[in-house]
Amino acid sequence: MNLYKNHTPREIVAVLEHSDKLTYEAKLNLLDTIRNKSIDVSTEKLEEQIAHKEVAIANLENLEELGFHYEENTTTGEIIVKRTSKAKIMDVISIVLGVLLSLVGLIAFWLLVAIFTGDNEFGLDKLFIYVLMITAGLVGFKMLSGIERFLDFNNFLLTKSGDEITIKKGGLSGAQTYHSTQLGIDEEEGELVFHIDNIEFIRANQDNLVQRRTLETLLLKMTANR
Amino acid sequence: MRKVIEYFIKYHVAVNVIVLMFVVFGIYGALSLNSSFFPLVDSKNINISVAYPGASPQEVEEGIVLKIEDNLKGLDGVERVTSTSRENSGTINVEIEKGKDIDFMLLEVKNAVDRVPSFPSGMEPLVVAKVEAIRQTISFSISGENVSLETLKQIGRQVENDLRGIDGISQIAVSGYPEEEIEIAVNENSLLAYNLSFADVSQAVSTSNILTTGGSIKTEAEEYLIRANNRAYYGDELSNVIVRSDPSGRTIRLKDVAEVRDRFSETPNANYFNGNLAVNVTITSTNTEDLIGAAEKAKEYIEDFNAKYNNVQLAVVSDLSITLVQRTALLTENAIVGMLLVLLFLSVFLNTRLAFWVAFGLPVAFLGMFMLAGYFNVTINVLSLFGMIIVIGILVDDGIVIAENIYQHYERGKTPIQAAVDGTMEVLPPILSAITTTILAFGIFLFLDGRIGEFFGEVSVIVMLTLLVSLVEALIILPAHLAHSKALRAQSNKPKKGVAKLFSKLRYINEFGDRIMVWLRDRVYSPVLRFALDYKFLMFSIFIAFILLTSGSFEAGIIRGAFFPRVASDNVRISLEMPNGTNAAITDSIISLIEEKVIETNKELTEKYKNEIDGPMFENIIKNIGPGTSTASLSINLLPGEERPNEVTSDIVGNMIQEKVGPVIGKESLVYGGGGNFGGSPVAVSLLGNNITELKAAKEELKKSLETNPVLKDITDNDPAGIKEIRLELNESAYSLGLNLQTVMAQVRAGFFGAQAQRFQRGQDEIRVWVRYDRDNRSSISNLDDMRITTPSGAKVPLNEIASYTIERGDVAVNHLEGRREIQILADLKNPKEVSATDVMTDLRTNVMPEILSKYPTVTPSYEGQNREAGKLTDSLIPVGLTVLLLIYIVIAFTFRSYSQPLMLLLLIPLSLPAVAWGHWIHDFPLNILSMLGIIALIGIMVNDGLVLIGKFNTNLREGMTFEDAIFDAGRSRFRAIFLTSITTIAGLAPLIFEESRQAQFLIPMAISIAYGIGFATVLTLVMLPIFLSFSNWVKTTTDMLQKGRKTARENQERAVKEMEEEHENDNQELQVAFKPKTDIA
Repeated sequence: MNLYKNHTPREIVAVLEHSDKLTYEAKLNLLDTIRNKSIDVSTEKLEEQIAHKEVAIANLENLEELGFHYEENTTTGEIIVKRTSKAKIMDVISIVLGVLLSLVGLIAFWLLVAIFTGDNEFGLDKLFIYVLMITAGLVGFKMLSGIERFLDFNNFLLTKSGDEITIKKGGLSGAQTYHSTQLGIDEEEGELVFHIDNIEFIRANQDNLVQRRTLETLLLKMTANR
Repeated sequence: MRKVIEYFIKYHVAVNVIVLMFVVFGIYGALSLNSSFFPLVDSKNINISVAYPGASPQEVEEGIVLKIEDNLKGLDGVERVTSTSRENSGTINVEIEKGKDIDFMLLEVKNAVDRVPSFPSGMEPLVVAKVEAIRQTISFSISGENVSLETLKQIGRQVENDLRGIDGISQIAVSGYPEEEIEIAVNENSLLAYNLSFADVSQAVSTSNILTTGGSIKTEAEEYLIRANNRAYYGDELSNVIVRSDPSGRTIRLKDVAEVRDRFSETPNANYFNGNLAVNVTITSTNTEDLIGAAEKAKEYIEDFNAKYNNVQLAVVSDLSITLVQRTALLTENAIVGMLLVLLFLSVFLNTRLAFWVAFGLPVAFLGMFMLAGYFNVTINVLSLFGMIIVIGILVDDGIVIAENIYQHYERGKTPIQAAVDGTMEVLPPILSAITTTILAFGIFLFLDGRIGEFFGEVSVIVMLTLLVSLVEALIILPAHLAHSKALRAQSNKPKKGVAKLFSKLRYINEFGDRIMVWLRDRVYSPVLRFALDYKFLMFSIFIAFILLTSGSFEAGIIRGAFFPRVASDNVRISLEMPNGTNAAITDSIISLIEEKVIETNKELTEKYKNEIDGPMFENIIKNIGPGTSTASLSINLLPGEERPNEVTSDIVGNMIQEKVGPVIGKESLVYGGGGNFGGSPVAVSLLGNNITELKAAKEELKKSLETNPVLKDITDNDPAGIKEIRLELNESAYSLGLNLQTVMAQVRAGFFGAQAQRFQRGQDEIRVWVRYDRDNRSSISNLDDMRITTPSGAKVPLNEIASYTIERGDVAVNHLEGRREIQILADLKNPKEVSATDVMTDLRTNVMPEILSKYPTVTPSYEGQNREAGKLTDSLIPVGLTVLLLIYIVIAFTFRSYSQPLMLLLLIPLSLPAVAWGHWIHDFPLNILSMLGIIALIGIMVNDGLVLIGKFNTNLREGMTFEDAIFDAGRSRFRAIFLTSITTIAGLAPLIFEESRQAQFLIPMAISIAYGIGFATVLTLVMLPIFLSFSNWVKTTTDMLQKGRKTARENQERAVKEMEEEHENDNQELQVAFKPKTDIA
């Protein structure tokens, strides 16, 4: 994605002046554009900002955004990835909220059907409210995916010791061990899926460069030989 | 669109041609517009007039009105039918639904009337006509010392004919005298002596006083027409009519049995101008006539007349053109001051040359509007001028945004032409959207029902036309001017001359304004916005608390509310109604007594305010006796609005006179009407039912309750006690003589009411010839006793021998509403500042009426007057309002291609309402329906600022900013444009808001709503909108997180970024498709 392809050099310089307000991807884009268009301007500050962000990515600081916590024992080289408490709480909330909203949606759907079957008198305001409730129900229904996440990740643990990867996840019978080369990242319906063999455990937004790089860094760390 | 804009920017001569066209046709259009007091409205009423001489109200009701009403039932397009049946006449009013063609409906109503199979034989032909929309222009009286009514009437007719000859005056009504008639007054003795009956006399006149032809004789030489010309036009010429002649040569002439005289009918109808008998001439204007022009011509005529004659003088009683001119001048003055304020703010806060070209759009937009206004039946009136005042501040908004953006593009290093094209194109969607939403909001007025809808439709036409022209100006003319202006040129340091020197001087002011703006943005706004974004909930709570505080203040009555505004009036009308049948002399004596008190009040007020006014406070007092012997009125014309102190309102004058007069014993009703009730009576309850006893009892109870209510005055009803009726009943002996009630009543009616011998046209009057008893023979009940009734055998018997009678009160009028008998009770508010009509009506509905209705179950109430108007208005407002709100949402959603952003913008509307309410409190105005209309207009205007901010927010996201920075920067970078567009809108309205003149008072609530609303909406747009956008984003990211179990970057949830991602994906796919064949080959 080239954000600045239609910008004049003067406009690019104006953007550069406020580079601290840009996202990581935009900063990379800006640096790239300045270099491509050979604009004579100092990019030191911009490069510094990019480097700063890349350090954070390298430290997997953004993994928490994906609901996982990363720990590395620097002496033994053991790596532990587990579900954050916050993510677990969010899973519970999504279940509760999902159930409530789905119920609301179901009731509204039932009332809407009743309008057409004659048990409920028609009204434009009613119709509007029911449609809103059904929409909320659909949102709630999607939230019910929290059940799956809760079951899968409540006791989730991914450890790396040497080349051996051990995974503990709901649906698997006890902890299973794999070789680190079996780890990989796939693209699936606009999402990045971090998996081992056919067991997937971390998903990220394909278009989010920070998340993509975070997963790539994690993969790198998990597959790296000490 | 880009090509069109580019064309005009490159070839700016074409732009100048367009400007020239606007100037020439605009000036011509403005000069061609007629003036009127209020907007011209088409009639929505069809009137059916019934004349049935000698019939009682019941006869008219049963014989005619009910039959017609029955046929009108279910007629498509009829909103409601009301009727009044009176002695000798009746009227049926058919109200047509909004949007129906009145001419088509007139045909429908006529058809329905024609379907009535039979009417009573004595009924005169029905007149079915639409009620023409006419507007009173000027009225004057013709009076002189000791001048008889006949002379005054003749002069009145002459004046009428003279005025009809003047171009631009067509509607003239002369009033103040009863109808002329010829009375053949017989006495009982003569009839007895000559053995004549009324029928004999009547027949003699009708058969001999004729003008007719008897064919023609065609001789060889020429043709002759046989004609009998025995038409006498005056009473004395009828005296020799032969009533009877026999072979013996005895001839009885009319003069032998009766006295024949020309006279005015006995129904009193007299006008007195400052104590002298007067005839009144009223000129009204049709929709095609100019009110001011017609009044000017009439005044010229009056001046000429008065210069020619001394004994009879014409005196202007009321001249609405003065008030109109004053109001026009007042509003024009406000508009000019508003425009100057707008220019001031533009030149202080915007680059001077940019400000000049933005301001240039004002006259262009107005001239363009004038060019088109005539096609939409717009006239120069209070409402159209008000529309122009409202739009002044809004007009420059799009210009400001475009000019600023062009300047920013120029500063980025583009050429002036490129900057003009790119700058215009970039803001084109939000500008189009802003104009469309404003037009949509004002468009609501066009669909409102009731008088408010009729009046304020014109405001919306003005606003819409001006905005449309301003859009053309902002998109085509402004960029072209800016592209070739020195505003987009590098500044040289050479010494300046002429205009350039002026601009260079103004630049100092501009720099000062710029410093203020930067200070406000950096020191005030930025910290507040940062705080607001950090403490969203706290900030939101403050606004919610403000709403709750305002709502509480409204409930507690601190902020007042009333549905309709009071309109300033220069007239006080005192209406006296005595019990029916009261002698005219008694009625006259009471109204004269009140007149004395009026004169006293005038002296007091004149003395009190002698330093502020020239001459007396009351311009004139018109006394009128009639119609009927029991009614009289006084019309007091106060000095025109601008010539008398603001505190002397018609209401106050009315109350002062009422206090002086005190209670009047024996009156049926006495109303001191100050006028100014917009939309009808504040309290009007129609009791409907067919059980007359219950209806009358319910009326009495309701009236009693209203009379004890201390906040009400002038309680009246349309069912006064009727005249005393002598109800005849025939004895058995009458029947044995071969008489029946019909034959007896026919003779009684001929004697006491009169038998109409004939009618003919004399000049402009239709003259009826009546045969009846001489006045002396019908002035006591004993005359009735002594009346001789002719039996079929020719014998004459005294009435008291064949009939007996009782005396009872009857009905004056029988009213119907939608076919049901109606009694309407009206009341006015003593002090509208203390209590609102809405509160009184609510109290009436919840506390008074249920008790009355439980006692009289056959009675149902219908709340009329202002209540009905309010109902019509709200009924039409709710569906139209919701539709327009939805359309506004669609327009914004279309512009930003987002579902949530328009919603966030519309959520600001309820938050702005407290400012509207407190604005009314500050200026001591009640919130009324005009405030509501102001809020509607506000919706259209306030979203404009939001559009600008959201537009920038989306641009920031597209430029790669993080969500928090994009939102913060959008507020900061659009601070100047939002601040300036708001302040110019407020500046345009400020002069009107601070106007103390009574003339503009009823418009001020709408101006307050817009100005205070937009002022607060600026804060909301700059502070709350970022909070809402941030909250909306939080909802989206949280929902996404709950669904996916991971966090997404905030900006990734925004439509602007999603679109970029989609575009990027599409580009990639296209690239893949483009490379695919090569891959295959490979």
